[in-house]
Amino acid sequence: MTVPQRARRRDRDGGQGIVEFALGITVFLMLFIGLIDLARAAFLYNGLSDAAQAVARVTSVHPGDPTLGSSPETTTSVTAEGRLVPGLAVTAYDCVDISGASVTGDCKPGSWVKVSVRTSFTPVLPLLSPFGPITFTMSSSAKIQ
Amino acid sequence: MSEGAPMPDRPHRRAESGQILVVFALSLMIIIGMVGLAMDGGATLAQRRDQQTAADLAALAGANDYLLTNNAAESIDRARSVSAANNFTHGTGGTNVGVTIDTSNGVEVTVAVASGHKNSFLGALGMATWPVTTQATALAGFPDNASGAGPFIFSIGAFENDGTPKYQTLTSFGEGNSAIPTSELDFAWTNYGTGNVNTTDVDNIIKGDLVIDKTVTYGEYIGQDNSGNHNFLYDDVNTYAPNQDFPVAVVDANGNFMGWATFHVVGATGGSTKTIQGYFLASYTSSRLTVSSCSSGACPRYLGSYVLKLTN
Repeated sequence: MTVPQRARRRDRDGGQGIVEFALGITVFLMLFIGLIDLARAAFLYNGLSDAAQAVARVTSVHPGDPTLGSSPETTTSVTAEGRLVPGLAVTAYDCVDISGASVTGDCKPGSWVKVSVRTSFTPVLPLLSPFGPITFTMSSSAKIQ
Repeated sequence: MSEGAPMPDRPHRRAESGQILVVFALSLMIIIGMVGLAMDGGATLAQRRDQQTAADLAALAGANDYLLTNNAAESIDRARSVSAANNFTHGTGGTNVGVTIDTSNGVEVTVAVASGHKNSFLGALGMATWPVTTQATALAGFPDNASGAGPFIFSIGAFENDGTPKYQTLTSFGEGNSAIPTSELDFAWTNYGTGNVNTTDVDNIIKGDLVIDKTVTYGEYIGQDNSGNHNFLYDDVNTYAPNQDFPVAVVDANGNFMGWATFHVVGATGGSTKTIQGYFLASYTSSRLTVSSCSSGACPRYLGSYVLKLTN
């Protein structure tokens, strides 16, 4: 084989390599970023569940007067949980009975506080971007002490 | 050099394979980190919930034990054994269960559980454990405050010396028209004021229109003049109060407050009979009873009801 022939073959090999690399890196990055998104989503979901339980427990011990969930302890707990769960928002503090039915009037010991929380998850993977931010919601109840 | 040997390419290829190694190593670290965040992070949060439950139950058990035994060492042992029963054993696997007792108002037992979560994935990145700490405080005591107190005063004679109610089945209690109960089967009306009983207030308490939130100091006189005809009060008890549990004040023979009990109303009979029917509840924790400002040595007696709840 002459030198020009070898050079042409290397050029063809190089072009094929670039195409293979482009395909490979695309699939790799999709899987890679997808895994990161999955891990972030799983952590956020677990964190949200934990936050709901933690805030419900604190509110059950310090319900707040006159409004359920207005105690400084509850505020501190929400702030602390918000550091673990970005975008954490408490959507409701409801007074319910053991069956989950709404209790009107003051939320007295023996009733339950139901804390509803939510956060939003924005995927990094471009394929998932059309779905926009995904909202996670969670609630947890604890008996008023 | 032979003709086919591609000498000029060799250093370039070696350099590329080195890059791949670096990219692979970085990717692997990021993958381990993200999987670790999901797996170890989630497991740590789950451990925190379990550990909080262990601290809550240990504090409640320790406070209850102190109330029964008045023994700090036993209370601490009880708290730690309950924590161990919930998989957090003091002194094992880096777990520390700290127990402190405060008796300035009833008995408050604080349990702090400190342990570490052993990471599975993140250990490879130098984070072998994550510290997890939880804390709970429980209050126990004999109540000096009642919310929604019933308009009745009963006699300490209706209780055994150890505080257990004698009448835990349906019993009739009559009105002696005196300021304080004159026998163990007697009761007196009260609106938790002074002087004459305000029967309008009593009626509103029975109907639920007036909620009495009352703290009484141990030994304080609480009798009120009961003279007069109270037929309409019996009628209203019969109409509005059946099957309700009321915190009720209990006094000694001199009308001095001994403690709160819980009375279950079944019914009432007016006319010339003038009795209320019901019974006392024993070993009972009512959410309407609290320890308000009961310092050591000035706490009411156990009269069937007690306080046991988380306060922090």
